[in-house]
Amino acid sequence: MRSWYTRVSLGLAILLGVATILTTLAACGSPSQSSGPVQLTFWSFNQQITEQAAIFNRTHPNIHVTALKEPSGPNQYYPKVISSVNAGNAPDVALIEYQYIPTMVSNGALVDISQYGANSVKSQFASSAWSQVTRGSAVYGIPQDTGPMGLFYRKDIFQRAGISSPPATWAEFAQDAVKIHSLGPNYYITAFPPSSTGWLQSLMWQAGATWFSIDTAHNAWKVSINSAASKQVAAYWQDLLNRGLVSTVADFSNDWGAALDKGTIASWPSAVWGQGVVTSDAQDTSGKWAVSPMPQWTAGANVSGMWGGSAISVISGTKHPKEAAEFAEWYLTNTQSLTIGVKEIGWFPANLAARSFPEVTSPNPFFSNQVIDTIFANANVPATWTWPPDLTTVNKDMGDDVNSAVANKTPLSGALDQLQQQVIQDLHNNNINVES
Amino acid sequence: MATTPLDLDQRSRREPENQRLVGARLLSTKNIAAYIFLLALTVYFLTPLYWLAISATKNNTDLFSSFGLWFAHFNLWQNLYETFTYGNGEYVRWIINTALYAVVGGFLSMLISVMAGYALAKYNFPGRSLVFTLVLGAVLVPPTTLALPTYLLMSKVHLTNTYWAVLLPALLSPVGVYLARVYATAAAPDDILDAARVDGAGEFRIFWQVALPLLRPGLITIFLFQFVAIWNNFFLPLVVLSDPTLFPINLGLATWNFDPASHELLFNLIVTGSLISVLPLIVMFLVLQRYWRAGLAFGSVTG
Repeated sequence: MRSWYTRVSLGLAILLGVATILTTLAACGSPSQSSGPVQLTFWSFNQQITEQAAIFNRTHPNIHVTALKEPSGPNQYYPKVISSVNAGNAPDVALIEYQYIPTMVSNGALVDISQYGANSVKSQFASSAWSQVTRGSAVYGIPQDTGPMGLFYRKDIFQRAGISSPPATWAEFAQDAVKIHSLGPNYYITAFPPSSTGWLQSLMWQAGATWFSIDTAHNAWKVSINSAASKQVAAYWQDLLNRGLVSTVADFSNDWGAALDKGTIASWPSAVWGQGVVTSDAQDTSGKWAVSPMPQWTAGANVSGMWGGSAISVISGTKHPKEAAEFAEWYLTNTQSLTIGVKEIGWFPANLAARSFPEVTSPNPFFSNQVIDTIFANANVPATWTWPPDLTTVNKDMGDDVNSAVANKTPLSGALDQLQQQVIQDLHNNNINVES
Repeated sequence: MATTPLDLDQRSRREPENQRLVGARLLSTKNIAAYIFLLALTVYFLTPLYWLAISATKNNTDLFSSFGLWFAHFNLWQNLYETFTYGNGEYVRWIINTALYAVVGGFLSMLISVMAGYALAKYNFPGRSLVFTLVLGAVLVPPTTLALPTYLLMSKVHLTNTYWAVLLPALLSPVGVYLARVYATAAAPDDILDAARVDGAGEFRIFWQVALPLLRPGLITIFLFQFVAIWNNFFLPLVVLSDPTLFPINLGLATWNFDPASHELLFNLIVTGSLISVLPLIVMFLVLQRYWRAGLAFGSVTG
């Protein structure tokens, strides 16, 4: 019996020893020294971020950046950043998606970096991206990547349905939907995924809707979710749903991936990063895909929406906001850093110079050597859309409302009216000033 | 708490001659219904695991486009290779971390629980029932609700982002203390302890050399409980750790999640990594199930 304990105790001692060693190792990497270079911590959920930080550290002897890759997922990452601010453990710099910037600002988590020269790099970025990081004269981050929208479609299926050129307008898209559905009862031109809030918001964005705006003088929010532009989009999809011309399968689901692969979902209005999803989900369909600009509401126009995209922000509580802003600016204007971002990580850059990198302008073999990124680069995204100060609640309510409208076959426009009321109520409950 | 087992217990004591009848009763309608119910439960519990095992053999395309419950192109070796080598082998680091958190945390937590439980069961001291009531109350508090307060405490003493931030909170297990008290009451008879006292053994020696061996099945149950709890804990490490080299597996896998800005999709690695991460739990349960079952039955009858 004694030997049982001896063995266990010995094992435990070894494990504790390992723990101590590993802790010591970890402590060596943590920013605790008071002298020497300024220590900055950088959080991101992109893969492979350490290489850029290493280059920065080599060229900036007075600043040392530790890049940490954090778990992504909106329910993990943002609560973590906010609680780290509250506990005084926040990173100095962090990747924040555009859609979460107002939420983070209303939680007091972001530093206005206009005072640290952020505006001097403004001209290097796409204006639609820059509009996402500013509020009035304040700048809450440097834009990293953007998600302009285009139409991914299956050339082979469109051809089989007798469609010679991709739909230039939404009216044509509806006509093509009929042709594609005539290929078979399982064939749909696209899916209308009721839970995909970001997707539907980007379509609203394209139609000129601005769901939120802020009166900076009075710090008051205005909510216009059920505007005429939004209702136009809702009525359009309502019609396709009523006629059974679009599938309602959830995007990114197993069935959806299989349908893209088989061609029973023949197109996908999506952001530039959708190419990674298409090439991975439907690997065997190489050569059958193409990209066209988004179908337009007005023939001859060139307006798109934006789905996704993120910025590098300086986080409240940092002891070195100036150096943190310097890193953010360097990270997204330095050619070496941008090259790694575009080539290794896969950004579609918000930086205009980076959009002429060979990775962006070269033909894509999966899409029969079409230069698809150019189509996204030319997509004209209105700089009018503003995200709400409590995105998590808005998206939860929106998902519920749209889902129940689709499931119960009640009007989508009614879901927008309901969402409008809910969101105003939510903002009131969170003590956020709302203008009626 | 455990009326049915007690019932069965009395019946079998009263009618030992009926034991052969039990075999005949196996085929009664009641039993067939029970078997079907158990079979359904087995399918219910094993299907996700089956899906995980099948999916770990697929590449990204097949993950999304092939039937979920059957094989497509066999890509397991490639998946395993990529899982262990992606990002300079960070997955291996996460396995070591998880093992460290779960084994060290589980063992120390077991030790603390059994000491506390033994004291509550065997010593009479003022406030004993109050302490026990508090422990019982603490059983009802979901650990997730304590994660943020723990985080704030840890940052006050500058322990966030260290191994201790995960290990220290893992040491306390109210369920473990409760179980240990129940086992100690039943499995370490006062007579034996008194006999040891008469022989001149000190209290600590009695605990260590007389009581502990008697409590072994219970100890293993407590260890397994806490081991699994630490292994699966996501929220606490999520808030207290930010350095990926300290992450446990589940947190590490979350950093491989879909990120629109990256063109790499790592779903096949996440699935393969998840499969690997449940294997130690399965092995642990199979190896220790002898003790585990003994411990469980013990608790249910005497509770």
